[in-house]
Amino acid sequence: MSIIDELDPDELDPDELALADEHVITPTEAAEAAAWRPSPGGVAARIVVLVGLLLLVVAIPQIVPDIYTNVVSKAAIFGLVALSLNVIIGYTGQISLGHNAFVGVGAFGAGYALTKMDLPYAGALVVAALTGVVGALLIGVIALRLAGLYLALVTIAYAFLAQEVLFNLRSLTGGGAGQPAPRPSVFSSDVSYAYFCIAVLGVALAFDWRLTASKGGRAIQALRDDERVAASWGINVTSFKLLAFVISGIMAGIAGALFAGIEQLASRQDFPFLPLALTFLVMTVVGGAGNRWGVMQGGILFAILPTLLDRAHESFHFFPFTSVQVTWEPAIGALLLLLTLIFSPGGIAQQQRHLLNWLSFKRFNEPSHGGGISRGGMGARP
Amino acid sequence: MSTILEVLVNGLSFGAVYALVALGLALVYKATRILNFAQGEFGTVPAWIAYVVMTGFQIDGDPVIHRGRLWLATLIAIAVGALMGVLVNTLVIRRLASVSPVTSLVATAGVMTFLIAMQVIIFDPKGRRFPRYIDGGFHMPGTDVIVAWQNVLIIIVLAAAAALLALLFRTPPGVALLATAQEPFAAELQGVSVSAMRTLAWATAGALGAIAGMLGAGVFSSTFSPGLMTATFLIPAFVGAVLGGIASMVGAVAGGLILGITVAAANQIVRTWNLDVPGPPHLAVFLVLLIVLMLRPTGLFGQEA
Amino acid sequence: MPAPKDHRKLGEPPLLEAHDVSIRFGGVQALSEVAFAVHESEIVGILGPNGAGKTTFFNCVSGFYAPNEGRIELHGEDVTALRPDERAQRGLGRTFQQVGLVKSFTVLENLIVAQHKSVKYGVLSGMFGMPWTLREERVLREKAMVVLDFMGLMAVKDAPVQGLPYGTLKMCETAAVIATDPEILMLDEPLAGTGPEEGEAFCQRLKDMRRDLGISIVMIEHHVPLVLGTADYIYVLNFGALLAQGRPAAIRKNEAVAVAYMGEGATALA
Repeated sequence: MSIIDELDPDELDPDELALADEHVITPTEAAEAAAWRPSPGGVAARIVVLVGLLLLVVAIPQIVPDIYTNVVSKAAIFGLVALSLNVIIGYTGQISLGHNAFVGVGAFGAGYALTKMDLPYAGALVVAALTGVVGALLIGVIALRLAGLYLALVTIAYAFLAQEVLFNLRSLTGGGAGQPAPRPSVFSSDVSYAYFCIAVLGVALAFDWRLTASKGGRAIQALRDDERVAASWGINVTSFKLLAFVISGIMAGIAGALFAGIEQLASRQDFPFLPLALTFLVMTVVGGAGNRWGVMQGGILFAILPTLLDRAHESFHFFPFTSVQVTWEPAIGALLLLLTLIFSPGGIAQQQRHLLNWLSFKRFNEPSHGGGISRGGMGARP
Repeated sequence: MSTILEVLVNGLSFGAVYALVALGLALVYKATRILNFAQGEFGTVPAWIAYVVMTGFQIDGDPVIHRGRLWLATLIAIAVGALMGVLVNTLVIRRLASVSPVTSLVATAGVMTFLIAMQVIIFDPKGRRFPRYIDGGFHMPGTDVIVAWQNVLIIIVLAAAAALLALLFRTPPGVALLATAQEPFAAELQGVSVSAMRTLAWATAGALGAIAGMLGAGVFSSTFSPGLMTATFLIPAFVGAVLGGIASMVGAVAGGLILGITVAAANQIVRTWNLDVPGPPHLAVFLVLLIVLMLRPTGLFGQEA
Repeated sequence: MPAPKDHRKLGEPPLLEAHDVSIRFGGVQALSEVAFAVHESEIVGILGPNGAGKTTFFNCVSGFYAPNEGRIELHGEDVTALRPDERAQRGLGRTFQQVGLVKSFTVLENLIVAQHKSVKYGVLSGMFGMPWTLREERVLREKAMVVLDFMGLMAVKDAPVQGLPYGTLKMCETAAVIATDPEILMLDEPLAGTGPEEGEAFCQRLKDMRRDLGISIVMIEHHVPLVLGTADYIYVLNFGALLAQGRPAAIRKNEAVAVAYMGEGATALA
């Protein structure tokens, strides 16, 4: 009777149905919005902007000064981690507080595969992905049958387990010295590696897009709102939650492998629970859980935040920048998280919704309901 | 034989701190259905305030601690703890755009992160001495196992707190508190002020957390540092609470103590058999959690999943 | 228009059958040895005062509650141990007292998700965007539109579920369940919040569904006259036990049922 304990069929809440967010969209408005097409000028403008953004992304590794090239790689990797955490938080409506474990285990797995198992780079990526699968299955099989709060607890316990036990296993992680993780020779230059990371992020975005537009992604998101309804439509609740976790684990594992490749070394100081797991959580929620562009930007923001703080501290010689240091990063992140949860639950994506609408060839001020496939998340009713 | 006794003594000493924190967690959960990840910091922050009071605002270096101020500092700490609980409820939980258990959990995790980060900024991440209420210990007769008086004190406080809370939930105000957790709308109709009950619950949890912090900070001397309660005690406390039954006061105590003994046993096993396993406490905690969730998710004393 | 075949009268095996279903919650015996059967092309009504255990019974039949005693059989197969989604895969569809829709999707998106079990491509193919999946996605969308049209809901197809009036939502919910391609449709108070005309129109639609789609329908309802006029067979529950069962005409004249609904002294239901 496991799922049954969570059900309360007499929980009448008719008020929730006619819930007004900022604006209740009438069916006519919705039908109009769905049928609307931009003018030829509008199409052209959008295409120009999109191409421009694409060119900018392609140019960034070249134009950025050499000392910051690795930050670009880190930004792409954090974007990937945000996408992976988004599958759990935004699409499935669950919590993972232990993604530092997935990323770290992926990093060490890749390093181990490259040095001790002598695999080619592709093989190392597969190993990293597999570590994510194993971790997800381990956690999922135990906790996904139970209420979401237990899952949160298991993920945080896994995070501490990874930090104190797994990352200290000398044979796997090289102890204090770390596990070397050489890049493939093709990407030996930092700039080329940055392109590689951006390319992986691009593939992940495409995959995420297809996921939400297909049967699996829809089933996962249906679970977020109402597991009973999903079950009554033939969706195996536990299997799909597990699927979401496995997908997330694979993406995080690969992100870990890429992360190890930045310094070509995976060391345990890189993956502490505090602040890393919490930074991952913060960047996903602040980015806008449920929206892939939002969370990606959240990831990028928090990847470059330490660098920004450093530069601000060096460049601006007046208060408050004189006292700002890198150590402020977790405090700033936590504050942004709380502000997001209170004032703007859809995060950065919610703030950018008009722009994102426009770029998706919809009307600029199309009324948004904070929900919908791949648009739901912390802002939508759980 | 004396090793077993030693394991028991050690286990009960940190188990008692786990149990104190677990009591606070169970209280918040029972009253609001929220897992309060900031419960640990409800202990560390008041402990820092107490530290500052006891050193006369000298933070740097290795300042002199005026033991005479310990009791004053304790009172201040408990007040700070209660205040923190109320503030978290008023400023954060109540103002969340969508109040679900999951969002609230994320919010408390955010509060935890913020508090720890601020401690690191203000106090620097180094360990400091924190006084115990009673120094020294006594020999267990017939063995050379030493029991610290501080640990005895913790057990006494634990028993008192658990008894008080268990009794509380049988009194009219306590029942009202439970009602607000299970059926807020109905409770409101019965004339119970839901928000007042919740404020009371959070304040009590904050005070309880402060007591845990004041006692726990002195348990391991010279390692009072930012985020101490969370890093050392929070996860085991959570697991202990789950083991005992997440909404049960008695369960929190039992679970915390059992977990403490398990952790001590794990440490001892690794030491005696010279196993090359890092971090035995964390491994033990994780395994206990997995076993509980697989076999009996409602815990030893719990009735609800 | 020839009358539909009366499979029950012909003595054919039922599509869905419940045997001696009992369930206890704490000290309360919510259901005691309730039995029912649903045949092919049949509309079955479940009546009973509030608290009689009708929704609890639905939950047992659809798999959301595990009864303490009793057996549920679908096409003769014992499904008592199966999960709700497994029973849905075998042709059982149901609605919920609060609206059973995915609240953060639009109406159309709900209808597409509801077709989950009919989707032929595998989850992995979908994730990698294989070409045949794109074709099937178009088919899913078209079918969703067909159902919306049948239910008269085309006007709201792109509207987000949140913000629609309650009556419309119940219609959308029914549309979604139809989209799951059920053989047996269990409706929990589908007429709640609808006026007399809408109610009559809905019941007519149920009869159309029975005829055109060949599905059997079980409905819990409080609107006694409509049920008496629509159902082929009726079960009446009271205090968790089966009070009476029979054809509408017999139930109408059943004194025990009348007393249960309207108190002592009542002699007939409607």
